[in-house]
Amino acid sequence: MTHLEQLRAKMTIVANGGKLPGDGVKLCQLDKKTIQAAKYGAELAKAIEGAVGVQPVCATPPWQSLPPLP
Amino acid sequence: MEIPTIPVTMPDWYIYQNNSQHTAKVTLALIDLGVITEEDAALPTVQQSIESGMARWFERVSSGIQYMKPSLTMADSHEQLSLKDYYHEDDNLNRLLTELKLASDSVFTFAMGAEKYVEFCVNGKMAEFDKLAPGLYSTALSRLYGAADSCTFMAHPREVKGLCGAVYWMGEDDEKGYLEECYGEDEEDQCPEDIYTKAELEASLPPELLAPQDVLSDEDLASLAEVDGQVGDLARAVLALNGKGWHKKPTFPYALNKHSGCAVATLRNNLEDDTQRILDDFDQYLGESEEATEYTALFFANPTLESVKSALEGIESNCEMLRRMETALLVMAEKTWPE
Repeated sequence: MTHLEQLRAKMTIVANGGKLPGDGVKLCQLDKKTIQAAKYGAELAKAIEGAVGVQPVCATPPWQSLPPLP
Repeated sequence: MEIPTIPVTMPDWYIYQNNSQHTAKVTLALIDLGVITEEDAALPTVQQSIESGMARWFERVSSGIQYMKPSLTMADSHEQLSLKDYYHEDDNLNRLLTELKLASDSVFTFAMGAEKYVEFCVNGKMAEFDKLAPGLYSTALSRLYGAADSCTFMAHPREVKGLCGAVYWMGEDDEKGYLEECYGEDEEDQCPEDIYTKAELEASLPPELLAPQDVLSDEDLASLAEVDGQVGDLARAVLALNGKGWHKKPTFPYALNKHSGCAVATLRNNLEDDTQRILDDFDQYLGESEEATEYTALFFANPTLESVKSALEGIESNCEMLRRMETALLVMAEKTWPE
């Protein structure tokens, strides 16, 4: 995944009000443990991938830094 | 919360990140438009990515301009661009936004101003050209002023006369209305004795500079363009000012705002004229006034791909106009600052 694709993925999340495309859940509402869970990580990855057509990396809303997806 | 400003060395522009959602949408547009590249995206923050991409893009579109170098400021809504205590619901900027049916917090703003001060003086060039090709200089001035009207603020004589109206004459063309207003009061001593008059202005900036006539046709100019020397140079420069096909009018109308500080260029009659005094008085007037006035070209964009694309096209077009105006000015006048 290129840096440009990563930036596009992040900006798509932020432009969407910090919500995951498709399910309306705000990233900032998810705790670290949940984010790091493989199950939710896979869903999150799928949601972002579906929205932006690229493999996601850390989707970082501006108000809160989150750890990289597992 | 104070809004951070992050200057970059070249070009001179700043970005204020207060509305992350808007900025994200504009970032996506800038990626799609090829302004932000892989190299920019590798930088640690989004802001740095935008700065890097936009700085390179603006450097490219403003290249070749030697003196009338523009600056670009970006803001994620128009309030961030203005002085905090200046924002007023009746000012020109808000009127414009209302006309455009844009909420002030829904637009991304690109503002063009001047990076540095450059001054030109006519210094008898008009008389010199009138001997060689009657009417050419007047036509050149007329078309130069017309070009400047759709460009970043330039303080040419006609514009300076307009500033006199704002500063000294209550918005009128001369001092008569102001004097009548004063003498209509019981206490005549309320009228200042040192009011600047239209006669003084015309002694300093002759009527042929204040209101030049467009006397030559494009056919006349095309004939003169064949002539060698400065007549041909000026005729070609004038034709380029209103060349068809290249100048795409900005999609987003201009509003002008007092924030930018100085004109992209000043055209004076000579160094002894009153232009600097009038500009200084105008600056003081702005400092005391609540009204927005004419200084910076603004391009408003909704944070969509098409809208941002149109704003960038308008900025590019503005730069092209500056480039052509500078070519004409270097033939028409002597550059007196920077020396």
